[in-house]
Amino acid sequence: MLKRAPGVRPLEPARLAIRRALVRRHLRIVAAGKSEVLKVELTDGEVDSSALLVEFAAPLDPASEPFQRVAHAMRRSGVADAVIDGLASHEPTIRARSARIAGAMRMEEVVPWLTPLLRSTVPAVRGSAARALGRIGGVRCADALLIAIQRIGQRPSLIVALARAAPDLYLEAILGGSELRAVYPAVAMAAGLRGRRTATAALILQLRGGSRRSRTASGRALGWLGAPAGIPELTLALKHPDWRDRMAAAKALGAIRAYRPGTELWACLTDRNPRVQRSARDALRKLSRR
Amino acid sequence: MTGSRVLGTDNPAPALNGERQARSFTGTRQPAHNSWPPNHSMLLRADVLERAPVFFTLPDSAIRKLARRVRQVMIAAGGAIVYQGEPGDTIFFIESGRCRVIIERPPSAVTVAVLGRGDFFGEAACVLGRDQQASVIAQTECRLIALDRQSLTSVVGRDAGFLDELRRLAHQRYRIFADTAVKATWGMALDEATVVGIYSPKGGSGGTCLALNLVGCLSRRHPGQVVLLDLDFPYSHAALLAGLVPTSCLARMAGSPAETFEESVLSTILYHSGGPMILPGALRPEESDEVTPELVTQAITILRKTFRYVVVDLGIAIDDSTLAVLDLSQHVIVVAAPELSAVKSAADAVDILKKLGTPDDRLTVVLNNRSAKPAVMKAAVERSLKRGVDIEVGFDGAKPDEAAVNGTILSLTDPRSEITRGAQALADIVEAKHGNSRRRSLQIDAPASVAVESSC
Repeated sequence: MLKRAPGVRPLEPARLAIRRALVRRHLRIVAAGKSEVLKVELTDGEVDSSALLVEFAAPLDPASEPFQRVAHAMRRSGVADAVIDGLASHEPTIRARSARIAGAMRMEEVVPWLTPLLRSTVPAVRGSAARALGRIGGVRCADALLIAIQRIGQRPSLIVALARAAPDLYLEAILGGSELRAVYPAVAMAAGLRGRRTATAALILQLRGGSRRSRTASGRALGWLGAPAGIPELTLALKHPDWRDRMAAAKALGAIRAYRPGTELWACLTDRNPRVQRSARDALRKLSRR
Repeated sequence: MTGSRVLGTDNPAPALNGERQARSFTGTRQPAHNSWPPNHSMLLRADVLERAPVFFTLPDSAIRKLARRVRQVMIAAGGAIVYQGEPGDTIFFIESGRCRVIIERPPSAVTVAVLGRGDFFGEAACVLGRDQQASVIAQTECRLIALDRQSLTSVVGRDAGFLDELRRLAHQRYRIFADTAVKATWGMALDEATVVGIYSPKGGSGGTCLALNLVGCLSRRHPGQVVLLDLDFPYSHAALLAGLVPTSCLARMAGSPAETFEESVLSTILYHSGGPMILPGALRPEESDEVTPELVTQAITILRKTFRYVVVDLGIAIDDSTLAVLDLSQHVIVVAAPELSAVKSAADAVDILKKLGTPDDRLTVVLNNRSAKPAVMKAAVERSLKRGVDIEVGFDGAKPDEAAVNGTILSLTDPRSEITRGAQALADIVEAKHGNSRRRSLQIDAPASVAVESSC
């Protein structure tokens, strides 16, 4: 005990809190336009000023003046360059921090450097890069995420980021085209998460004639959209020979407010597959609550 | 797929310690050297961008950068491009085709604009961060250029003057569309009568005849609830054509005190035995000067509270009284005869009405054939008008003239007459737009046949 006592440092939390408060105050000053110098230390593990910067920028509108002032101060003080350097750092922590800052500050110029991080072996780096691309948004980020999905598979973090990054009619265009069939299920899910009704027709087409994975994903996506236009196709899918299609359709119909349960959904209660039965039961319960 | 530059042999990603090396893309993706749009495509895109208001003020370098980053999207006819109430992040420029801008104001849906080549939409959602004000549906197959917010900000983010100008334009268009939608639906909100203006830009096109027969058709459906206000100056003959003898007119109400004005107007209305009612504007040509815009507005305000439909037969001149009626109208019918001068006048009239803010779905064009062999065919008329003819009334021989001599209304006496058929078609349109819409909401749902594809 005597040996451990000097290492405990009881005032350490208070000291860290004071330092964090100073960083926050500094950020507020920069956002108010009273200073054009921004100090963010990427290597400072104790205070983690990058996390404070991300936290500060999160509620700000990128078009707002405070956000623009902080972005300007970043460029002026060399923090933007440090972030770009940090993306190529040996340290996974620095790479993850840099990615988070790049995302929070909508640094579109770092997209080519963020893209390889999506295939990082470190989950924190991978996740930070995906979130950053999602936050930056636009065609370049969506392209990068789509390629990552094509290469490394349909990871939930990538699909969520794609849903955030994709501009209007981007996902619909992918689903309507004939290229990139391998990513259709992921794109369908992203379209469902994005929640734009413009995707309804493309999802119905996938539900009608897509691969097994595409059909399932499109069915679920139509449910997330709550699209009444999908009810006829989903009702048909309740009789599909594949149980996964039936299960997805039952779940989706349970999420569509306009749907009035028909005999097809009731019939699923006695389906030969117990998972379909459970989905139908849940759907009917949800629908009866409305 | 897009006009953006992707990683590849020309643009390698940095070598990162501890990370796998980025490979150039192959397979279904475009190779790096093809990831930039071809030159002719770039020029086309730049041309579309330059044609748009505000954007033409950008320097060439910025236009080129934007052209490199935009996407080209094809939409099939009937496809929805944006939905009202949803967020948006993209400005769409129309490279070819036509789009309808529709604002849903239950129980109605109003077409506030029809956009064509060079127009753009979605700017309010993109630069103001508002939800989409209107739904935009492709009327024909459309080729669009899509510019997303991130690309716009990256290229012109530091040009505060341009962004301010774009925001100002977005605000302005937002207000105009909102005003148009309110104007088209305020009568329904108050549950007052629908005012239908019938305008014939050339005399002898049969405007009065159609107005009278439309009133006849509507009266059969809603007896005692339809009135014709005859403002076809200086010679108003609607009452005469219906076989009625007027003893007073609106012009003579000009001096009436405010407290007795309503009673005077209602007592001046003539009742036809078949159901229609007629309020003459002036009995003598010189009295037409007494009919001021204020008097017309006052009269229509009273008629709207009393009737279900107020049909106004307008003269050929677009004077202050006519403009006052057009302002108050929920539906405007333009009558054209298949003659060169009449068609030219009708085309001008349609342009003027659009400029006055008449929504496209509240405007009906009628082609009234006054001879067995029309000099100008329907297709030529449509080309000249730059829009379709909604109703074509066939040649009816001597029936209209005989009806005028006998003082009868064809739509009440001769169901086989071409005029009757035309009037019935008109009444159907008016009823569909303004009669049923009181009871049912027009919901714009996802059309089933949307085909969206994108190319580089």
